[in-house]
Amino acid sequence: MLEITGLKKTFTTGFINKRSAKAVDGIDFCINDHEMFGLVGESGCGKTTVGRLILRLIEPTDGQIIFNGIDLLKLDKKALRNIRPQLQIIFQDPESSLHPRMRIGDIIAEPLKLYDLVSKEGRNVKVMELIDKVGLNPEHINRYPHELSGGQSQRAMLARVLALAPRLIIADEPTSSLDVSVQAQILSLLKDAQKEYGFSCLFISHDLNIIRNMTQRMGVMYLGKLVEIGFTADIFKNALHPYTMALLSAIPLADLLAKRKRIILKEEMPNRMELPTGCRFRTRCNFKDKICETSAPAMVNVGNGHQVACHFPQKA
Amino acid sequence: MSLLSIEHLESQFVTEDGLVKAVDNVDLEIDRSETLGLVGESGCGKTVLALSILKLLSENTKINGKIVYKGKDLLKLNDADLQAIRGKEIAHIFQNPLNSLNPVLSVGFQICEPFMLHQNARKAQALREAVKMLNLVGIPLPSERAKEYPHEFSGGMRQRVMIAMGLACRPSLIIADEPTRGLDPTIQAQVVELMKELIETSGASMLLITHDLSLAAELCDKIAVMYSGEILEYADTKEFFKKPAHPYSVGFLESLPSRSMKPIRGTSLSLINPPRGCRFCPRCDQSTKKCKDIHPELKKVKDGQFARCHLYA
Repeated sequence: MLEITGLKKTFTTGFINKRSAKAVDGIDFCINDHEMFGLVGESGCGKTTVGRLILRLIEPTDGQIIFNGIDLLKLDKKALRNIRPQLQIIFQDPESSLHPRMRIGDIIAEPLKLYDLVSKEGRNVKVMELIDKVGLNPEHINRYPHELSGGQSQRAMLARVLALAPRLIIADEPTSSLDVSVQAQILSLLKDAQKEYGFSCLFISHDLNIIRNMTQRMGVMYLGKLVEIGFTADIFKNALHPYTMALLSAIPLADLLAKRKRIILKEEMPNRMELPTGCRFRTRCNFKDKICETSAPAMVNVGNGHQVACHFPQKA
Repeated sequence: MSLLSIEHLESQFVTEDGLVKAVDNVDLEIDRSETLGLVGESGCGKTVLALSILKLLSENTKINGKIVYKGKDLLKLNDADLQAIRGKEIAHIFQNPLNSLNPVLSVGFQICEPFMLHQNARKAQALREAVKMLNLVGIPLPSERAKEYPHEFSGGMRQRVMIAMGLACRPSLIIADEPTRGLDPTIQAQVVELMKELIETSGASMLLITHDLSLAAELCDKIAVMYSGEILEYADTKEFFKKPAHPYSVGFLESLPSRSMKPIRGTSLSLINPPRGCRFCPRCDQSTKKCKDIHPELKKVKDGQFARCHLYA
């Protein structure tokens, strides 16, 4: 349904001393119909940029994004506008993505108005239906965003997105600012909505436990490149990239008293302006060798759609 | 005798909408070399409780009760006596290191300050100590990095600097408020390992404030669960994670992404006019009429486990 090939985005800074940062540096993946695809990585790895590139909220430097057979990057403004209702995004911070001077009811009705999907009379009915669906109360319609809690704002955001019945939702850390008990509410709401509406979803998160709960397939990103892709269950059972292994070793287990053997990585993520030669992960890798300094590993398929980019994929 | 004992602590803010009881009748004890985890969700009052200990709250806060540290009631001390304890005896590691470090002073100087203030060290000697501390918390090239400013450090490094400042005068008690918040998982892993090691070697006690139950499980000997200004459960870490007693603790644990991610219905309530009965009653699946009417006391469930719930009356 969504096929991404060779997607790249380079940001340049500076006027005389032009320097460039490769935020996304050639990534390929696809999302199937009705699928939740998880994109995981640490801050600054480029995962948010990927989400925004797909919607063309920022223009890619290079690559191809095919959505239901249409190349999104070839569309002109008008055609893009016409296809946008099918592609929606839920942002990280719900409070700053809802217009502070509009009432919740108007915020949810706005997309219906813009795309003229429902007649004027039907709009209120539709808004009430959506409000109910996301678990808000009718009285919230007349409230302003600052009067809602973080969880309620995110519910309103979801209602607004669902109003257009999109085919693909990009959920960019939709619960990173919420408490766990509320986070669980929003995630189960998103899961239920997906069952009912059947949209596909690119779920961006830094929390591997959430990815495991929410997604069928996932990709792990490091410094602008995907290092591992596969079925979520496969990656959790048999991670092959040393970075994925380190991430997995650091997550909380269901039995919180169980001893975790964390894999501690050296140093921190290098500066994106001065990428290491060869494999990008080698400066922090515990398994690196000579070859990692000179050649960047290519994505290799190891079966069942499980792909890894490493010279020495580890067997757990 | 315990190192710190908090008795009937109340911290209240006077606001236009009414009196906010951010901390409401809290009793806690921390023994020597013990780590107590104070866990709860945002707005439950855990940070206010921590700030009350060293009287770091604004003027419009009313604090009642007793905070006894090594036999002295901190709430009765004058400013000068309290200043002698802050940073030397009890250190506070604040959340959000970027806001807590002074942006116009070098990192080295900021770590020097406690040495110069509390140990009358000369600047040169204090700086040597500061470099030692930076080395201890695992910052590479410490003597060069000491000359740099906070904005030149990454998030994980800044957190290490905060830890170095906190440990500088070898305090007996460390209050660490969300020390890993906002850090990436691989960096979080580094910081947690560092804290574990430092607590073990220094023998200090710690009050760890966090919303992250897995962090509390790893670092703490005892757990106190806070909700809406009150302690709902207080237990040995092992007992707590094996079998949490309070329905809120059970729900909190079950809502974790590492568990079933089962939500707790509803949201936490306003601290201005808390209900008469149990504060968790509106969200509790096991509530009865009694819960609505009568406020439960903290009762013993079994050895090493206490809960504020009528189920255990």
